[in-house]
Amino acid sequence: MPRTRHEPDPGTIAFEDLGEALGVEATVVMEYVELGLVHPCQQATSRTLTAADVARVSRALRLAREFDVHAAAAAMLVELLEERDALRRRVACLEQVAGTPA
Amino acid sequence: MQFKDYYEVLGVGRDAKAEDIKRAYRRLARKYHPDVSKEPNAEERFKEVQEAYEVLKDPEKRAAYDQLGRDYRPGQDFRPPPDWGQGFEFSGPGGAGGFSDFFEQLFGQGSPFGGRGPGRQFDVRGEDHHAQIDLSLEQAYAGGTHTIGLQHPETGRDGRVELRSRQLMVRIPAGVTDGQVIRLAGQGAPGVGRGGRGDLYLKVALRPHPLFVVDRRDVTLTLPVAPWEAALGGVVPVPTPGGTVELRLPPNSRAGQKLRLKGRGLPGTPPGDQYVVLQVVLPPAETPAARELFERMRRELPFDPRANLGGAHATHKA
Repeated sequence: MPRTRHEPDPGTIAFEDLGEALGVEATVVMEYVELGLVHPCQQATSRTLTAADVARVSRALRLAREFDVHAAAAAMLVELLEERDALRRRVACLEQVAGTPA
Repeated sequence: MQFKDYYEVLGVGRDAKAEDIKRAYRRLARKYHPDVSKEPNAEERFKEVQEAYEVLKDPEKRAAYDQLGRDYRPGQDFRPPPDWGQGFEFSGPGGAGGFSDFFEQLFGQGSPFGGRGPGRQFDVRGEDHHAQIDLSLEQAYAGGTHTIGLQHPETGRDGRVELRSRQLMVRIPAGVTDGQVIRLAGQGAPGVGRGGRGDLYLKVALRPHPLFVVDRRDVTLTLPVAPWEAALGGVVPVPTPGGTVELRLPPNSRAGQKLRLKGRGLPGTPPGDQYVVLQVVLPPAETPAARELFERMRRELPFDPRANLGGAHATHKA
């Protein structure tokens, strides 16, 4: 198996590049900003999204396609799935420390 | 190559209306989508459902499929007819990739539906991949280089979904938090034509730790202390993610009290803190000498632990 070494990205991507990066119209990305799924930050002259936020938009786009739902539902799905996964990890952690309930 | 009965996959009749097909797809997507499904082989089943919907939701593809589908049984050996797709307009891209050989022959790249035609070039950016890397708290604290194995389902020659694996070396910065996402540009699926590769989004998942509860960069440790340590105060050793440190207990510390060790959590700007929750543990009362000490405390220390409960709290037989 070939091995490639990769450094993590600086962490942000400029808003103007997002549409092209994600393979969709820029208006589609704007929709998710308006829905509040992600919040661009102002950096000097451009607005940017963090890598985590780009991942969320990418995930929402995929879920919208896979579940055949509108952007609003896809955005909510991303948030709920993230919350569910975080809660599962926390429960696993607490059960480890406190002992699993009988 | 085997014939696939897409109507059977979606559980609809051949005369189903567009809305029936959409409804059937949504129901099956809810059932088999890997992010929410409890079914075994969910990923494989979901790909199958997606492929069927890709054909049946598109009136042109569906019409073409219906023409050849009348004479075949599912699983039967199949070849596309020589005049396949003639008379049909170009449609959209040939599916999200990873579909069966049957689909690729009829609707994929190189077919009349795949968007290839006189002078038409097709550029689609590859899909983004999402993966997770599990780290211990110690690994998250220190950071470092990790080799991860990635597996992606791809459809093999016989239409069966296989898992392709590859390895990647990734640098994890010190102090990554649970749920943090690292973006690796160009490490996703390859694109089509001049379309670039997708990206790989690597999500960090911290494994539960036997001692510490992690909340972002803060950690919490429940610390057992002896009654006299809490009562009289003193210095006790405390584990932290970066090693053992000494904690000064103030006199008259209470059971359950929370003390803070600033900056002793996960590194970062700013670094997280470690919280220590005091758990007063009793020495066992197993020897006569030990019991005598406890008896003496009962006699000489006026103390009602249940004073704040209110109501009848004197011992009585239930």
